[in-house]
Amino acid sequence: MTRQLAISPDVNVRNITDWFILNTKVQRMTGEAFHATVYTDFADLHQAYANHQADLVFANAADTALLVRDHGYLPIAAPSGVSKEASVVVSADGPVHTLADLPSHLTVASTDAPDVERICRILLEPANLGPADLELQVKPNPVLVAKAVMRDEVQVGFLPQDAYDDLSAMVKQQLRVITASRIYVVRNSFLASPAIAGSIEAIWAGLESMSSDPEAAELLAGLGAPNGWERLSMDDTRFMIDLMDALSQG
Amino acid sequence: MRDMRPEDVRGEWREYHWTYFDGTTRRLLVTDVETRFPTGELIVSQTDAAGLITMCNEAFVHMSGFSRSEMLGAPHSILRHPDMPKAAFADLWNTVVMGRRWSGYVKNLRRDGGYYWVYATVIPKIVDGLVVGHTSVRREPSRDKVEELIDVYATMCAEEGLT
Repeated sequence: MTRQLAISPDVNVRNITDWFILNTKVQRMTGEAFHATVYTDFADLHQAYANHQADLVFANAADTALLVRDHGYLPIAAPSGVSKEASVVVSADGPVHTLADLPSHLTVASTDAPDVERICRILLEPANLGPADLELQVKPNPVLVAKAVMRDEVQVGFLPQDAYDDLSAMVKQQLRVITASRIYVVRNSFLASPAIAGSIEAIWAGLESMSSDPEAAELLAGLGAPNGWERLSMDDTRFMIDLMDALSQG
Repeated sequence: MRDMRPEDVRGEWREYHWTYFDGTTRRLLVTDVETRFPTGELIVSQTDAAGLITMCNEAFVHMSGFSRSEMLGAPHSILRHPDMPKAAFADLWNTVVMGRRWSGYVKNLRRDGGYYWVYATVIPKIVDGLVVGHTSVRREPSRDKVEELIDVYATMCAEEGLT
């Protein structure tokens, strides 16, 4: 039976190849056939979860809560010393320099990444901006979020920090970061579906071995784990779930 | 809990002899020095079922003024500021014991007698259907809300006979 490795829309397009390389390694680790699928939006990925078509996934914190609590997924590993952060940006030509300059109703461009949206909404709370004050436009990727801000199609953009860092200097010059998160404890997790629970130890052994292999350094960086992987316990995962629950504005 | 000591306090202080819900007492030395919540950060902690701190992040250590070793194993009420009405904490407790999340604005007491405002969310930590503790996440509060609540809490405290 072929298992499924779901490549989340969180993954930078230029790193897709690294995930296919990891897929090959996972097949060697487990002795099972894995098929890697690239998802370009979260609606499709969530459908794959519902259809049991994602046995292995590198999930963001919001999806980790969904998968572990509602679908019985099990934690394997997380990247060492890497946290998920986000920035709220405005047009550099505009009048907004700080949160205090924002109007009481905002148009916002964001991708459909649920963790980034949740973090950025929280960043706007000190300016008295709640869920009802934001009109969200979902864009397919962070570059289009940046363009929507630069073209004044929206007043602010929500960007994952790594995606903002990857923007060209020319694009960054046209944006202004008005607030950014420094949360440190939100991160992506490598999760296994209950169907492959028996392979978790083999996968962890493979990931641990990669972490200590100097030749794997470039691959690890591409996978978003430049410092290697660390074992993720169910307790750590429950903490992440509680944290994401606490950050929801419901 | 150990009494606060003048040598640990920064600025002019007022003295309170505080009685906690469990009957224990503590000498509090309170100043008017505010530490503003660091923008973009979160204070995160976990407690066990008895309300003792089992985990805290660096932002918590920084904002509370306590060392990590002082925090771990201490009751969360070590942060309780006398300007906070009892009714607010009663509401918090009554909500979380029912397994529900609680959110609200809280003025916390620092080790040095100063204070910091937070918007806190407390959720029960449930394992195998049992509440084994709580996770508390504090974020930067709206200043407008804080200004509004200073008077509201003062009135509530006066009604409770705390001031």
